Amino acid sequence: MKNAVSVSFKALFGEALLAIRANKIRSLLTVLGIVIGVAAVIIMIGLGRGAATRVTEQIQRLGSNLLMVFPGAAGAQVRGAAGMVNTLTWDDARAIARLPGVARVAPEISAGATAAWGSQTWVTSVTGTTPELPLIQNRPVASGRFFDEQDVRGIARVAVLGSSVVENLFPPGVDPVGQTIRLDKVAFTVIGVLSPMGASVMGRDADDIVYVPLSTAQVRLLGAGYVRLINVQAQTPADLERLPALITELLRERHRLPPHAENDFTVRNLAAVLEAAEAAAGVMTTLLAGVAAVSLLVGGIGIMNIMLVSVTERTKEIGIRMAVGATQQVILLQFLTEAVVLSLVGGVIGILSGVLASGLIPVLTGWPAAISPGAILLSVLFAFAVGVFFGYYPARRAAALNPVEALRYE
Amino acid sequence: MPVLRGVNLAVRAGEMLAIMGASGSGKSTLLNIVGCLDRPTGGIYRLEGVEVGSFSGTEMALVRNRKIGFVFQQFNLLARATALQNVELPLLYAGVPAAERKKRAAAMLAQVGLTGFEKHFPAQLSGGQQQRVAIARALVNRPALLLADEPTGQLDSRTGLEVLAIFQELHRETGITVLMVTHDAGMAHFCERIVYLRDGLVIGEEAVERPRRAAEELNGLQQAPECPAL
Repeated sequence: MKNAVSVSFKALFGEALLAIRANKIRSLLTVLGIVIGVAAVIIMIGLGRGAATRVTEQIQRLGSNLLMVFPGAAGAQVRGAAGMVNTLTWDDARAIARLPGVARVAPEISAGATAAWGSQTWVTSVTGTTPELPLIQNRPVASGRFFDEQDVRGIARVAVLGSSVVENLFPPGVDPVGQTIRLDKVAFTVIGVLSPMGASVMGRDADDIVYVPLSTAQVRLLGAGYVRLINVQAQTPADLERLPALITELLRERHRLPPHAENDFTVRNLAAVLEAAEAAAGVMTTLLAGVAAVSLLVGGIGIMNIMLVSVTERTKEIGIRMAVGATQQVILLQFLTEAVVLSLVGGVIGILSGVLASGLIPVLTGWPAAISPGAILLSVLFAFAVGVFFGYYPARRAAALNPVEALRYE
Repeated sequence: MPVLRGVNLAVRAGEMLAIMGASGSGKSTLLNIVGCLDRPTGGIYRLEGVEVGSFSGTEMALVRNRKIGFVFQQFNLLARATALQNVELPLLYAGVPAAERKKRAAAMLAQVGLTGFEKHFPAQLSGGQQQRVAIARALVNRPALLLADEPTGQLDSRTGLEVLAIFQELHRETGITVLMVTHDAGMAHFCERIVYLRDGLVIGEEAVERPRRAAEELNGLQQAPECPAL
């Protein structure tokens, strides 16, 4: 006599479907926990992925191989925070430009200013820089041109406007190029408009900006000889790795810092900072998905609860099945199959709702949500595991029933 | 307290035997042991010469599946399953493929006169029809031994006769061993031998010279007028 379980999986599956269909509403409610859990996992991972993608886009938008040099020591609170100290000069920027591996350098100085065209005024930010900046940021002009070396040398009163400034200063239909605007009462000729960038890195509107030549900004607007920031573009990623040390060495020498003195500037790889933010977003995603997974767990407990009730209710049925030759193993497999089918059905419905929601969220809220195959696979596996884990105990109870007592049960 | 206290009983292959006793006499327990649903706490039970006491749970289940068919007083059909699905059940646990399962179950239903009722659920069938589904289920795997526990207990006398007619016909045609438990002496006399049980002891045994013939009695009923003439 054969000893193995000879019931096919197909037959077990059929019996499970029969049992599930016999109690439709209850099955549906049981499954709901899993549906919500799986959908939540998919949506959370989707939102996290979307956020990470957005950060990556921002890094690319920022310009590749980009370093930023700020004045002041990093985290030096006593002598003023980074960016508040006037230790960097245009000459520092020129010196950095001569370092090997440096592709382009663009020093910046910026301040708030009121822009006016006729009676229209708009408070914005004026940045003085050099013609390399749009090349570093990979940000072309939409119309007109960016200022060139000649404008910088000649301290020309020319301005390039961001699209938000154009929108707020000029009525529709007026071509800003060629117009004269006043920045803090100094007249400037608009020579170009930048192509819009969309929302920017730190939540600021990157299009709400006016660019003027660095020389002009220093002389006409701010009356200062320092710069607030030096953008440095490295030639290759390898150069990017090497440059911070070179720049540090160079600037320490130029600033005549004694060996034990702290740096009076900070070199930062902003992409690295954003990557850290991306990593933080990843942690957040994991946390959210973890919370969502908890609801999957709760759903699993729901399945266990219903399966336990079901085993009690169907004691007689189990007895009958045993009487006609179902082994304990088969009864165990049968109830386990039922739990797994329940949780997988919940998983599939959950995936559909999760994918649907991930498609709707960007439309409704503007948040990016990516649908990741990994998340779908993960939740299917998880749903399966929940079915097996929470189905096992009730199935064991069913299999352990004594056939005589089970048959006598009413 | 033991339910059975000294039952020395040999059932011959191909025999039709009734076990009679009042409730509490231990006849159901005896049937459960013979049917491999239960194990004796003492003593020996041999099925086809093999001692069952050493069998594992799985082996017992296999014996129930391949060698034994049960018919219960309460029919014990699965309420959620159709007549055909109920009959298929032992084949399912025997690992028979779906197509063959359906074919054999349908043939078995036809044999008990239930062609056309395959898709009916137990609740849609009369008591007699339900018991015939149960008989089809008990026999679908071609067991050597049919165990019936008060098979007519829930049926009126006419349907009871129909069920017994099926048993007798099967017994005659296939030589299946039938073991029937009843408290009704009339029912017991459809069998060839009656064993009397009281308080867990065999108290007597009777060979029935001329067992009642259910088919003939049924014919007699059919010839009787529907209502008595006044």
